[in-house]
Amino acid sequence: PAVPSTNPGENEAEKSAEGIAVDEFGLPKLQTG
Amino acid sequence: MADQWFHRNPLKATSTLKFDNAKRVCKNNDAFKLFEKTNEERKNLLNILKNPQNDMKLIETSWQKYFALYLGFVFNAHKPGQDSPLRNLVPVHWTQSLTGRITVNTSDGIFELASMLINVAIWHMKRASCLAESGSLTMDDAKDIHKSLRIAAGLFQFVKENYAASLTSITGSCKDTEQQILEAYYTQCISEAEEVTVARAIELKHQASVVGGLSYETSKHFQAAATLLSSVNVNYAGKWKKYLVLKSVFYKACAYGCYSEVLLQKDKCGEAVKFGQEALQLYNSIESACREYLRFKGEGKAARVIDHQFFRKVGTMIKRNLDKANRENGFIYHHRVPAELPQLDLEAKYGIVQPESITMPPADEGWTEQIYASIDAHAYATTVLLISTIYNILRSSILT
Repeated sequence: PAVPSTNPGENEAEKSAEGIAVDEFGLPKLQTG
Repeated sequence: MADQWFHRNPLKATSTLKFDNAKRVCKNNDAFKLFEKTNEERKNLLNILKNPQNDMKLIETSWQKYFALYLGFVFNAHKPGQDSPLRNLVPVHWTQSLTGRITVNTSDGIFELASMLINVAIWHMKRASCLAESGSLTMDDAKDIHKSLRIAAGLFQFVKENYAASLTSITGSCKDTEQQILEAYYTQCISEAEEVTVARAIELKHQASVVGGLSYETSKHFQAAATLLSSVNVNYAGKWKKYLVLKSVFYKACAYGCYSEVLLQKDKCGEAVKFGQEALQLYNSIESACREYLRFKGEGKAARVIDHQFFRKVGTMIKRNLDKANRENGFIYHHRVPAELPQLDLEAKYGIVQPESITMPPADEGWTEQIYASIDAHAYATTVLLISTIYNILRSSILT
């Protein structure tokens, strides 16, 4: 359905219940570089 | 232009509000002006709801403006918790999203509030679908689709929690205000928002356990939505239910395909092969389920799931994982493939969707204490008696 092209680093910093940084969709932020 | 991925039920239709009864008991010029203003805002809202490409903020502003006015008919703006004496004096007519042109008629203002909010929710669903069809999606489009579906879920939840219980006496089958239909819409919106996240997780190459966990949860949500429709007339809800079931099977296939990869990473190759085989079998079953869904008569714009690029993409992933598991089992592991499917151990830790919370606007300041005070108690009692008599005659003629 909706497949965005994205830069994983652009999202606001939020944290999951386990303290892992997640993006706006609630997915864990990917490490870049 | 991409193929339609979401099934969409139609918007509800309605007729203009008539304030004759309200005018009979409330002979106040300021009130008459409010009645006119209410109809204007309502007309404006209904007009902009026709176009799913309209701006989300435009819709938000419009329904809040209309509700600020209409809430004064239903609740006393100056006595919190009390109904307005006008609540049952404005006849309301709405079609239902599942039953075509059949109209539900009542004089309860709560039905107007519920029906209009449901229409705004359906608009958000249509908007999400329209954006998803636009082909090359940007990150902002995906966020917008996700947001619209969360707002729609919040609206359905609001109607269910605040209005549905007081509308159970209204006659008519497959009404959108029925608990299980509202719950089915709510669950569909949550599931579809999770679909957006699954697609994003695949695109960004998240771990198989993350994609698989959320896919499995999404599959369960779609199945829950379908189950809610089990008691609803199949002639009206059958097509919608078939869509929900086929999406559930699709995400189960996706989850099994991902789990096959997870198992392979844990050197459980025999089980990986078994889950891969099961995933492919489920995936292959969707084609005939989709054809059956498309043939089934019912309201709504049908999804063309098997023609969609995302469907093929997941199919490629499932086949690739199965091929890899088979290859590695043949060359390296030589594990026995279990006859029965082992227990699936996947948990959705990420991407579970929560609905947006919905806030009602305060009643328009035009609803003064003087307006409520000017309501003629005698005329009110006579009008209510008249409406109640007509309603009972109509109801008994429908039931016999």
